[in-house]
Amino acid sequence: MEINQNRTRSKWFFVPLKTMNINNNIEGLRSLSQIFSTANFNKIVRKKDYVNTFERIKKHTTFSNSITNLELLDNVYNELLESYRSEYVYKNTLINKKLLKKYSLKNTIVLNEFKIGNSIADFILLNGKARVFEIKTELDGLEKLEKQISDYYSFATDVYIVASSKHIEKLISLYNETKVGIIELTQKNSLKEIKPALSNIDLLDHSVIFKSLRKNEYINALKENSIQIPKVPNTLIFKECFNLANDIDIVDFQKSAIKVLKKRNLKNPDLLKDKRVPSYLKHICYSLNLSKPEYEELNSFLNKPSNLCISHI
Amino acid sequence: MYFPYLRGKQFELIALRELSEVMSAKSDKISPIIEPVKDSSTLASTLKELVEKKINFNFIVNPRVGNFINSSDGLIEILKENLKGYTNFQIGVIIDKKTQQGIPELLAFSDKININHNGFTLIHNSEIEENAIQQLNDNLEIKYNLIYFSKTSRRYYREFNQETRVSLDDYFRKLDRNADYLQVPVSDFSEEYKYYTDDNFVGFGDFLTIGDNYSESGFLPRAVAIHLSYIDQNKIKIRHFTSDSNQDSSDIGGKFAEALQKLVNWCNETNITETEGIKAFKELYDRGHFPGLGSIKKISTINHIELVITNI
Repeated sequence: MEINQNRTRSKWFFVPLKTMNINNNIEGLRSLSQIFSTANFNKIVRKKDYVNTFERIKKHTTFSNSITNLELLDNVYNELLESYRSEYVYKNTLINKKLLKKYSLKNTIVLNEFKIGNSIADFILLNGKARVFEIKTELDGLEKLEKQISDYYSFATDVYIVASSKHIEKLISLYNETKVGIIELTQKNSLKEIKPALSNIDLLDHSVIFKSLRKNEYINALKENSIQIPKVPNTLIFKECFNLANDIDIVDFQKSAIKVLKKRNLKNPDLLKDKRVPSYLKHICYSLNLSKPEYEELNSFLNKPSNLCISHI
Repeated sequence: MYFPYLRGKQFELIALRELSEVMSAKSDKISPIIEPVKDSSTLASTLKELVEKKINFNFIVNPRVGNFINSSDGLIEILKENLKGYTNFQIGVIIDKKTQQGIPELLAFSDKININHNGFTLIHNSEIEENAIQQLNDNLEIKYNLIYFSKTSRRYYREFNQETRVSLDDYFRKLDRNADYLQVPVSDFSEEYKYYTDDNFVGFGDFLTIGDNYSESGFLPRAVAIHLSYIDQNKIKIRHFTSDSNQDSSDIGGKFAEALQKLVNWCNETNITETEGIKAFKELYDRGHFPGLGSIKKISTINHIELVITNI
């Protein structure tokens, strides 16, 4: 009897639309989806600037007085999952289901919006190898895909396309005979592997890998290969190191590049994993690489009543 | 008198600071305009340096870009803190449609300025109505009226007393991408420095080799271009020395070396008068050193100001 009661109450508590209504027209959803960006949460956490967030909330939702920001944003995110799966939804699903569930934050890092050749990779997992995930949401077209995939193979051995169900049939026909992996983000928001990625080392390219590294990183990558760094002025260091890198076996060079890139790791992996960081914000927190006090600031923001924030704008 | 217009970005302020000796030796010929954009220790140290070298300057209290928009009171505080009683400067006020709508507020603000100064410098970024000009004339002690020529009509400058007239314009030909300067090795700048007195102006101003545009943050360019001002047959011209390997944004230091090589070759071939700026470029060349993009703009700025004030 008691158990039953509890269940009813918790069910009632988590039904979102009782406390909040969202106008789910396309304009409204697009606007609300922009709340979930690193730039916007950078404002919230680092500048206490809530204007952008709550102007959107005010315009496109109605909600009861007692709701906290945590619940409010949870409702908005759930609505996006339902009706407007933006690129952030894909990235955040990848962070939750790939990085946090499958890998250790000690040995694996994610690169977000990482430049490879003339393309920018949406999401890269680095551990022993480099896996690139190219996202194609229902809102995206597939025009650039061929160029992107070929750029990615000059840096990484494993390339996946993570796509909306809408694109899957087309993607299978395009990539069935290739080593490209295909993952579907299903209607239920799970990641379903349609086709595994097979490693491809044939297209790795010294120049693209080298240029993706910062100065201290290419220097360390050479050191990994026991190469002595020439003592030259800083207008020459890039060229000299590049020439030296060209002599390293490409597979070894790519491995050492991965190793040095992995030093771009998180300051506070434990806090990212902490339950107080809602799953809908994991990717943003990862990208912002928050410090401890910033996590506390985020937490205090999330626990504020929303009407308080609205009244300040 | 030369009025270089500087947005108070880091490298522009440091250029002024490093030029203080040169400016001090020609202090009757220069009065920089500073539009502050950010509260920084460099802003404070630059003001202190100008005070120490007794250089006249104009400090804008209603900037239209950057972090100080609508912070006039805060800017007066910054002046007070760093000037320590120094009075040889003008309060700069940008005049545009927004100012015109708020003239009562401007006058109220000017009444409560509690530091001594040398009067006001108005920068006319757009025309305002005659009665607004009248109000300003009646209530403010106006030292200079800078007339932004390409933003006002041909006769607007005549509204102002001859002893206060200063011409201002953006003569820098800004191209979309640095690589575009490869097609344009040299461009005309201005000949104001030669003729401003004949035209009955007490001074002239420009936006140096930066141009009248402001952006908060840069991005890594595909090409490096160094802009060098020089005088050729009584005209100020700008040489653009541009890197060649501009396929992507890697190896910015190497690109700088390419552009610098061209600059040094040209200076040696033409036997150009060596300014402090040119010396600084040659010194970087000898060391093979890339000091960062901000420093390159700084040296271009130093070169431009020095060139102008040694030739008027």
